[in-house]
Amino acid sequence: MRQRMGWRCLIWCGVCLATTAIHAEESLTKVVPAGAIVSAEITDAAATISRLKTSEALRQATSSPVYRTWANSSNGRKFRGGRALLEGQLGMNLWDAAERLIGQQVLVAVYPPSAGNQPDGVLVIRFETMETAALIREKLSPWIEISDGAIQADERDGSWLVQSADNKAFGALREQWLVISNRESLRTAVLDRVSKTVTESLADSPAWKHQTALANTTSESRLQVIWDSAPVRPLLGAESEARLLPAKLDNPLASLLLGGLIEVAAKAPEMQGALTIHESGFVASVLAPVGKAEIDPAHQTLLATAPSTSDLITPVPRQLASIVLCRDWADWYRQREALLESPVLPEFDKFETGLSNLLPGKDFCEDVLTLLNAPITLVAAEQTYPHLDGRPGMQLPAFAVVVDLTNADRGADLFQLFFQTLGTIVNIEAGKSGRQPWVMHSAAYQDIPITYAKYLDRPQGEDLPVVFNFQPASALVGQKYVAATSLELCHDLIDVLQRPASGGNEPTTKNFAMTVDPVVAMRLLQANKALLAARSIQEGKTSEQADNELSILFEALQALQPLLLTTDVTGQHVELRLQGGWK
Amino acid sequence: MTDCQTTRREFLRWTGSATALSVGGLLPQVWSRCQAAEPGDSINDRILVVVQLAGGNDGLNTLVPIDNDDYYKARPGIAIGKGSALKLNDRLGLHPSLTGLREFWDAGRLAIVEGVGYPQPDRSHFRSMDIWHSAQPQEPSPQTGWIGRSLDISQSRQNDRREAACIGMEKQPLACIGNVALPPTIQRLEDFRLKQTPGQSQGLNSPRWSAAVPKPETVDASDLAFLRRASQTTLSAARQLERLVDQQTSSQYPTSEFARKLRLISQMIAADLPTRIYYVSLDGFDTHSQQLPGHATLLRELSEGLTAFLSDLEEQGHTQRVLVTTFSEFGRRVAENGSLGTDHGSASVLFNVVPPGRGGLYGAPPSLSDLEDGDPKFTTDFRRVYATLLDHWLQLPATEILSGTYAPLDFVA
Amino acid sequence: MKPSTFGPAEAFHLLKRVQFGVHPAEVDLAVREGLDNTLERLLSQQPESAEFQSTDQALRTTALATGNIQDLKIWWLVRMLTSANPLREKLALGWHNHFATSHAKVQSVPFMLAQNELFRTHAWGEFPALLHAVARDPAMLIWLDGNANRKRHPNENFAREVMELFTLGIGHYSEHDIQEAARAFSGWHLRDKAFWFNATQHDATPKTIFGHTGNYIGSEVLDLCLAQPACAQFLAGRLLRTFVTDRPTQSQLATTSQLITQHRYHIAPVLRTIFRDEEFFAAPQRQAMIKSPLDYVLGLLRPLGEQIHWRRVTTVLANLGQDLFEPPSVKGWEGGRHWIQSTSLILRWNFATEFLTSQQIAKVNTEAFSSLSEVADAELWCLGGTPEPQVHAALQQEWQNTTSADSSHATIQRLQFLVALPEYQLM
Repeated sequence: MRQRMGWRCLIWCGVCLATTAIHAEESLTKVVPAGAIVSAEITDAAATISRLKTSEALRQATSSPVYRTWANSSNGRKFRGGRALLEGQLGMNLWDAAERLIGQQVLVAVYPPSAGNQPDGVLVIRFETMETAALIREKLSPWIEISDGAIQADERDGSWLVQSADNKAFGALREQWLVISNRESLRTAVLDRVSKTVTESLADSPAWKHQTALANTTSESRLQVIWDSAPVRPLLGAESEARLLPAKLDNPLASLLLGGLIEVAAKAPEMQGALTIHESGFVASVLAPVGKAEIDPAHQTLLATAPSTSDLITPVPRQLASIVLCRDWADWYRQREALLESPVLPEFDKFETGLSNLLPGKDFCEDVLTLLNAPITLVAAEQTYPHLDGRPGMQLPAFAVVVDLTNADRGADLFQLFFQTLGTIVNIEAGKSGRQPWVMHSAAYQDIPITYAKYLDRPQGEDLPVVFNFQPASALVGQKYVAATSLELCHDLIDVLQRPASGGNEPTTKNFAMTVDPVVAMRLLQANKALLAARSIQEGKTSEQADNELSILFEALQALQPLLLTTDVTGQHVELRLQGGWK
Repeated sequence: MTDCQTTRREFLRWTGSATALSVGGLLPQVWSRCQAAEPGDSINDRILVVVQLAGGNDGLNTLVPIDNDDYYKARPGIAIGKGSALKLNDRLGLHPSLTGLREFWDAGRLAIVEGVGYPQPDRSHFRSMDIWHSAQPQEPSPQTGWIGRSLDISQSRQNDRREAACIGMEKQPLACIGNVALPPTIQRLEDFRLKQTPGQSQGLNSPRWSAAVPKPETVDASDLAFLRRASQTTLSAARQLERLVDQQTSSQYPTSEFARKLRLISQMIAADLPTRIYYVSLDGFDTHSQQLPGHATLLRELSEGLTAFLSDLEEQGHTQRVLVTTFSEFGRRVAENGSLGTDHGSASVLFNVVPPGRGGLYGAPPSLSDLEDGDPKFTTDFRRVYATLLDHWLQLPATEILSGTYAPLDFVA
Repeated sequence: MKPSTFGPAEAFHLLKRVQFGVHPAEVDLAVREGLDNTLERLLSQQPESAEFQSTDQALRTTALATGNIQDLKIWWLVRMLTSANPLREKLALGWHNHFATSHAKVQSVPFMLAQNELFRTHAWGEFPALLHAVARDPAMLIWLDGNANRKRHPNENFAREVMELFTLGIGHYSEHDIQEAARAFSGWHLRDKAFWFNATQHDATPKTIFGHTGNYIGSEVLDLCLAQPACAQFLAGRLLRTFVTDRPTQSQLATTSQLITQHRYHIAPVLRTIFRDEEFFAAPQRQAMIKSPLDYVLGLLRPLGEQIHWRRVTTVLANLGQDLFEPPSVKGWEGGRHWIQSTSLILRWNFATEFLTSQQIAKVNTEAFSSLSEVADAELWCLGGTPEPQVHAALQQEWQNTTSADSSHATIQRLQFLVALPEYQLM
C-alpha cells in the first residue's frame, strides 16, 4: 500500500517533468540509441483506431456471415473468451485500451546482436498521460506478487523496473513511458535518453536525418520504417562487399518491371518506408537515397524517366487502368547479359528466330527497339460496343498500347506490318474454327487515318461470343503509335493525344505509373454478373446467395477511390509510392 | 498341386474366368500358389499388351540393315553405324538403345516382323492411325477398332467376360472402341482404389456385405446375377490391388512415364483383374529434325520399360501368359531430309515379345532399292499380325473381326 | 389394362424411370394424386419456379458467353435435377442418345444448345417433326458432313445413319437405298449458321428408294423411311430401352410398335399407354434396367444433395462413361450391362462413399430418408422391393449393428451399405 501511495505522488511530480522533457511531437528515435538496423515508429494511431472502431466497414464485417461462422467456431469462441477476460482485467473495452496504450507514439528498434544470435530489440511507448502508466503498474503488480520470483520488480531512479528471472526480458515504466527490451543495457540506454542524461540518439544518425528530410510528415496516423544497412555490413564479415540482393534475375519480365528497384535497394545504404493514413485514404512509400548515377549502366536502362509531362497520357473515358513504363528499351536489350541469369538468355535467341519469320532481314534490337522512346503506355477501358447490336456474353475491357517513336515514318510502317500480319493470322484461325473473319478497313478520325478490323456482318444479340470484344485498330498520332483491341478505345486515345498537354512540357521524374479505378472495375464485374453468379451456382450456391455475395463485392469496390502506384527517379533518390482512398 | 489345378479348372468351367477372382479374394494364399504352379494353363488367361509408338517410328534406324549400302547412302547424316548396332545376324542389328530387346532376342522371346504395312499407304498421321486402329483401310471414317470388335465378340459369349483397359490415355483410342464395347481408360492406380473410411466397417467393409451378396447360380443369367458376379470380382480385385500398392517388387522400373504405365499394368495383372488386353502409348516418334538424340531416348524408354515390365511379370510367374506387341502408324522415308531427320513413310518393322521359343524374324525384308514414292514396299499386311494375335493368342475369330482372311504368322503356336 | 394398385412401390418404380432420381416426397405426391393424374402432370408442361428460371438463365448465358462445353453440361445437369418437367429432360437425353451428336466434332456450344432445345421441344411430340428438324439442324449437318454431300461427290454419312440409327435399323434397307438417299440429301448444306438448300449442289435426277422411284429430295426420303413398317418397330425398341427394360421381348416390341403406328408417331400418348399398362408394373419390368451413370449419380443427389459442386459431378459422369454432349460415337451410349466394368463399378462405389461421407461433392441432407430406419422401407427405396431371404437377413443384421443415437449418422451408414449392394445398380 505504501509503495502505491508513493508512486502516486511520483506521478504528480512527473507530469511537469515529462511535458518539458520531450515534446509530444518529437520522434521517439530521440530516446533510443543509434545503430539500429530497422526502426518502425507509429505516430498518432489513436485517430485511426477511433475511426475504425465506429466505422461502417467494421460493422459490416462483423455482421457478415463469414465472421459469424468464425465467431461460432471453437477458435472464435476462444478469442471471444480471451477478449472478455482481458477486458475484465483492464476494466475497459479493448478498442479503448488500444487507443490509450498505443494511440500516441510507439517505436520498435532492432539492433545487431550484442551477444549470441538473437538481435537486440527494444519497444518504446509514450502514453498520452502518466495515468496510463500508473494503471499498467497497478494491474501488473498483483501478478508479479504471485509469480513466485519468475518476475522481479524494483524501484530505481524514478523508474519502476521489471525483469524476468531468466534475464530474457526487461521492462520499465517511467512517467508516461513504457520500455521493453531483451537486453538490460538497451533498457538503460533508453531510460538515460528519456531522462536526458544522454542526448546522442538514433535521431542523430545520418540515415535518420536523411530520411526525415525526405519524408512527408503531415498526416493523421503514421507508420514510419527505416532500414539502415550500415550496421549490418560489418556482420557479413569478410564478405562486406557481398550483396544482399541479386544483380541478375532469371525472369525477363521481372527484370523489366522490378530489376531497377531491386538494384536500387541493393545499393541503398539506408531506406525508409512510411505508411500514413488520413481521413479518406492512405499513402505508402518506400524511399531510397540513391541517385540514378550511382547505379551501373546496365541497370540504369531500367531507371529511365518520361521525358515530358505530355508523355503521361491523361485518362480516357471509362478508363479501368493504365500503366506507363519507362525504359531505355534498346539499351536494356543490348545489356541483357548483365541483367539476366545465363539460363534464360537462349530464350531470347529463340524469340529472335521466331520473329525473323515476320521480319526477314531485320534485327529486333537495332531495327525495332531503337524506334522506341522510353515511355510505353498500356490502357484498359470499359467498352460500349458501338460496333455491335447487342453485347458479348462475356464483357472484357478493351486494351491499348501507345508507344513513342523516335522515327515516326519508319516506326509506323514497321508496327503497321506487325498489326496486319497478326490480323491475317487471326483470320486464318477464325476460318479454321468457324468464327467470323474480319476485313481490314481504313477510316479517318479527327483527320488521323485509322486502320481497323471490321466484321463482315454487324452481329446481333445479347450473348454474343467472346470474340466480339475485339475489333483491333491502329493509328499514328504525331510521334505516337496506337494499337488498340477496340476501335472505340483507339478513337478515345486519339482525342486524348490530340488535346494539348495540361501541364505543358515539363520534364518528369516518372519511371513507372499505374492507376486502377475500382468503380470501373465494379461496373465491368457488374456487366458480367450473370457469369460470376453462374460460377457460384456451379459450385453449389443458390442464385440468390450468389447475387448477395456479388452485391457485397460491388458495394466494397464502389466505396474505393482510384489506386495509384508510381516510381519516381531523380538524381538524389528513388521513391516507390502507393496511394489509395475510400469514400 | 493337383488339387489346386482341379479346383481351379473346375471352377473356371463352372463360372467363367471373371468369377474366378472371387475365390481369389476368399482364398488368396491358395490362389496365388496355384497361380505360380501352373502359369498360363488357360487360353482365356492370356494377356495382350499393345504398345502404340505414336508419331511414326523410324523402322530403319530401329532394326538396322547393317549390310545394306543403300541404307548408308540414303542416310549419310543419321545412319546407325554397323559397329554401334546391336548385331542380330549378318544382315540386321538393333538400335544401340535397344539393349533390353537384344536380351529378349537372345532368350528367344523377340519376334520381329519386317516390312509390315498395307496397300496404298497414307502418310497422314490421323488417317494412317485410323487404318491401323480400325484394320479397315477401305472405310473412309471407321467407327470401330480391331480390339473393340474382338471385345464385342468375346463379351457376347457365355462365360467370356474378358475386358480391356487403356492405360494412361485421356480417351479410348479408336482401336478399342467396339460396336458395343467401350473399355475404360485408367490414368492412375488411384482410379482402382476403393475410398474407404479406414478402421470403419461401412458399406463394402461391412462384415454383412458378403452375406448380402450371395454367389449366384451359374445358370442364372439375370442382371442381378451379372451384377453380383461383377461386384464380387471387382471387390476382390480391388482388395488384391490394395495389398499390392505398397509392395515393392524387386524389379526396378525406370522413372519414365512409359515405365510408370507398364508398372500399373503389372499391378493390374498381379491383382488378377479380368482385364486381358492392355493398350498403352509411347508418343514422340515424329522425328522430322535432329533425329538421333530424340529417337535414341525414345527407344531407350521403350526398351528399359519393357525389360523392367517383363522381368517383373516373370517374377510373378506370368511369362507364359503375356505377349507384348508394338506398332506405329507408319515408318519413315528411306532417305534422310535436310534437317537430319526423316519424313513420313510407309512400311516398317514391328516387335512382339512372346513366351520363350518362338522368337525370330517374320515377314520379309523390303528392298531398299526398289522404292515406291521413296518408301519401301510393304511385304507383310499388318492384318496378318492381328490375325496371329487374334486367332492364335487370344483365340478369337480373326476372319470375322478383320472382315477377311489373313494368314497368321508363326510367332504364336 | 390399368394396374390394380398404385402404391408407393408402383409410384417409385414409375418415377425412377421417368426422371433422374426420386425424392420420397415425390412418391408421396404421386400416390396421393393417383396414376392418371401423375401421368397427366408428367406429360404436360408444368410452370418452372422463379429460382429455376434465374439459375437456368445464368448457366445458359455463361455457357454461350464462354463457349465452353463444360458449362453447357452443367446447365443441362441442373435442369435434369431441378426442372418441374423431369420427363421432358429424360426424353431430351433419350433423343440425344438416339441422334447422338458430339461436340468433339461440332465444336460449337450454340449449335449443341440449339440441338438440345430441339430434343426438348419435340420431347413427347410427333417423332416425324423431330426427325425433319434434326435433319436440318446445324449441329447434325456438321456432325454427319452435310456440306460434303455434293451433287458429283455424294457423301453417304447422313443417309446411312438416318436409316441405320435414326429410323430403321440394320437389315431393313439395302446399300443401294443408302446411295440413292445420299443423292436426295445432296445440297443440304449449312450456311450462315443455318440450314440452306444449295440447289446447285443438289442431284435432282430420279432416285429409287425402297422400290419407289421419284425425284426425291431429302425430306421425302425421311417420309419414306417413316412409312417403312420397320421404323415403328425400331422406335419401339428405343422407347422400351429408354423407359421399360434393357432387353425388350419380341412381344413388347410388337405391342409398342403397334401403339406407335396407331398414334402416328405421337410420343406422348404412346408413353401414357405404356405407363398406364399393368405390364409396365409387372415383375419382369421391375429392376429390369441397369442404372446409367446419370441415373446413378443424380439418383443419389436428388433426394440427398444440397449445394452441389457441379464441376465435380461432370468429371465423375465423364469417368463413368456418360459424358453429356460427347457420346462416344454416332451410335450413342449402348447402355445396359455395358455400363458395368470393374473400373466403372469402383468409380460408382467411390462416388457414393465420397458423396455420403466427405461433403466434398455436396452437402448431404438425410431428412428425407428418416424412414430408412425400417428395413422394409430401405429395401423398397434402394433395392426395388424385398430381396431374397438371405439378403433380407443380412440387412436386418446390418441394421441392428448400426443403431446409433445420431440418427443422421446411422442413416448415412445404412445408405453406404445399401448403395454398395448389386441391387442398387438396378432400377
